[in-house]
Amino acid sequence: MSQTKTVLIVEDDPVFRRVLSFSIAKKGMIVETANHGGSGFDRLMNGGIDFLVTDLQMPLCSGIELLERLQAVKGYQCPSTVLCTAKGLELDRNDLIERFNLLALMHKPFSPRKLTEVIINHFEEVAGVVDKDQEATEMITPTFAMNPIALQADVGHHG
Amino acid sequence: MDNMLPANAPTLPAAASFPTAISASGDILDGIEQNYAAKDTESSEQSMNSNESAATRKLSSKAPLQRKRTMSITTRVGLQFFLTAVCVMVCAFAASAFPDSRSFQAFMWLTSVATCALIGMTTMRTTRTLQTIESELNQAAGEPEAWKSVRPIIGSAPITHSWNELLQCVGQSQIPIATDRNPAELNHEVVTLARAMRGLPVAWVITDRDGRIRFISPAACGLLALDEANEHAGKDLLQRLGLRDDTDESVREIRQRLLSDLRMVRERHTLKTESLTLQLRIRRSVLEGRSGDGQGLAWILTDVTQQDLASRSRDQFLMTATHELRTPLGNLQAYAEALQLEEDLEVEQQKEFCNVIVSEANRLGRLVDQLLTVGQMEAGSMVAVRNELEMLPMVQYSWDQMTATAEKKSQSLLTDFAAKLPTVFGDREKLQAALVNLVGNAVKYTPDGGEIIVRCGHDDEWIRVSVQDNGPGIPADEQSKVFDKFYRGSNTVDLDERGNGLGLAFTREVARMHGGDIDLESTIGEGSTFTMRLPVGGQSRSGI
Repeated sequence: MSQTKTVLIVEDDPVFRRVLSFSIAKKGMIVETANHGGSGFDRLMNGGIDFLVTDLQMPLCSGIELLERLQAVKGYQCPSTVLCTAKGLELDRNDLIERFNLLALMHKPFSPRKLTEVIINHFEEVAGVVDKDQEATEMITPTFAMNPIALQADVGHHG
Repeated sequence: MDNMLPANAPTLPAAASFPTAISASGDILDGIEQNYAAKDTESSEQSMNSNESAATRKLSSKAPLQRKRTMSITTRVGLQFFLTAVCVMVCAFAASAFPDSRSFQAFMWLTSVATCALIGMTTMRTTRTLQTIESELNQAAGEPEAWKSVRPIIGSAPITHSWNELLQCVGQSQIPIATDRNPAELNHEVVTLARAMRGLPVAWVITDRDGRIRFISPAACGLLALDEANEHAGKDLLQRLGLRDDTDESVREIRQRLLSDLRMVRERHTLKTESLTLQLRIRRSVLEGRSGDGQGLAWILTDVTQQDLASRSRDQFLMTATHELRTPLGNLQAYAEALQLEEDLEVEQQKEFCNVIVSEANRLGRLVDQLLTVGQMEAGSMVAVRNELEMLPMVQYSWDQMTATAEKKSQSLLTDFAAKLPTVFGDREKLQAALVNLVGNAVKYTPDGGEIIVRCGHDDEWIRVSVQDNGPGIPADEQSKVFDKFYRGSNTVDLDERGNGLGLAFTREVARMHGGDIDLESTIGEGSTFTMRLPVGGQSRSGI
């Protein structure tokens, strides 16, 4: 990877958030976290996020609400998104994936390794396209590094 | 005899449908009664029976029209005689006015005689209906079974219809007698069955083929909010069920199915009234009547609102419970995997991950316990031990349990205990868990540096344990919800505290199980006070 990518994790359970950050940071990416959709939205609006991992069920502002709010922002290009959920089969999987153009919908319990694989594969794919068409990068990461934010203490420590 | 009718023709409706034309032409001309030209009396009666329901219906609807302005036959005869007398008197006066004119007197005499003859004839016509009936009855006189051969008559006079109706009734009452069963036994059976039908706690309705009510059970009256004392025959059942609404496609479909010729139809229907919404299961079957008398539809309406609610809340509980179970499970998997895959982990980190795994496993265990307890309690299948318990040591224990956590958050955990407390009858394990929950909750949701006071005291009736904190407080609209299963307050999110929303539900269930309850007082920004009260001496009201 040419540039270090930033991944935002929106998840209400601090323990799970911790292990997700750890696994993703291990792969050399910068990880930022938010504990519900509202703060996740604010962070996304500040820019500089290349990839979004969000939980579905969170208090205050759920993952769906977050994605809906993002869609409602005119001209905003939502980063590639993975939605995690502890809900089982009661969800309409295909509808969700289509509606929000999700990269994947992951059911808990899932392996963080799978999630990091999805993220890395995605970035590699994008990088492949970028080699052919430089402009695409500009579009995907238009505001990268515009708002550098300090890594979380634990991520920094291990990253 | 210009009004002959075929033997099997449905004469009554036909006759009944032209009443105005005949009566408009005057009372004097109403003598067109006619015997049925029925050679075969039996077939005539059968035709009467098969048309009876239709005829009865028509008759009952037309009868008031018929009877509105007809003089009785005797009145008419009297009037005719009066008319004759007046005529003769006028003639006599006229004749005596001209004593000299013989020819005029002769003419007057002739006029009187002609008037008498004319009115005599009209009188005969007027009484013709009576005469027909009389001759019919004369035929049957003396023989007990001969009245069966009495035939209906046609005509427009009101007594014609009454006579025909009378014959129909007689014909109807003949049917059961025709069976080989003893009338007394049959009567007893009918009465018992009718009573049983009325007494059944089932909402049944018998309607005609168009859904008009003929009979309705008290239970159905209750279900459809109809007054039992009123007469409901003839009302539209489908209207009552809200199934006459043509704007809704699905309603129309249900109605068509219900009124179709299918022998059995089962439908589910949501009945919305002003005050409440009912989930109804409708089962209707076709009634096949003998000789047309019992045809119609039988409906059984079942209120399944409560069942629906129960199954929905069970589904909701299961869904939330599995969600809550998957979360620690996911953590277990994720941390174990992290340990397994990452080779260059520092010892400290390995330790940390192992700790997480242990605590998550504990959490999962606690969660399963709580889920089971709350589920059992709600189902009423919880078995509770009942011992005499000292409350003070238990409250003290809960306080001890939480001091470490409170210290970590630099909170001051204070106590204000009464010197002596009465005993409580109850289940030690559960009460202890409930108390730890209560104190633990306060420590958990009060910010660092806060103050928590655990109090206990009593009056004659109750022992009260209250936990007061100076945390963020709970908004008024959430205060009743915090005791619901899986409910988590909206301001707990930013605290990064984990919970499954079962603790307070559990605590309240325990308190109620012991005949007590739990109250909450809270002001935003000032803090909350949870007070659990238990009856002194364990005078339990829940039967444990």
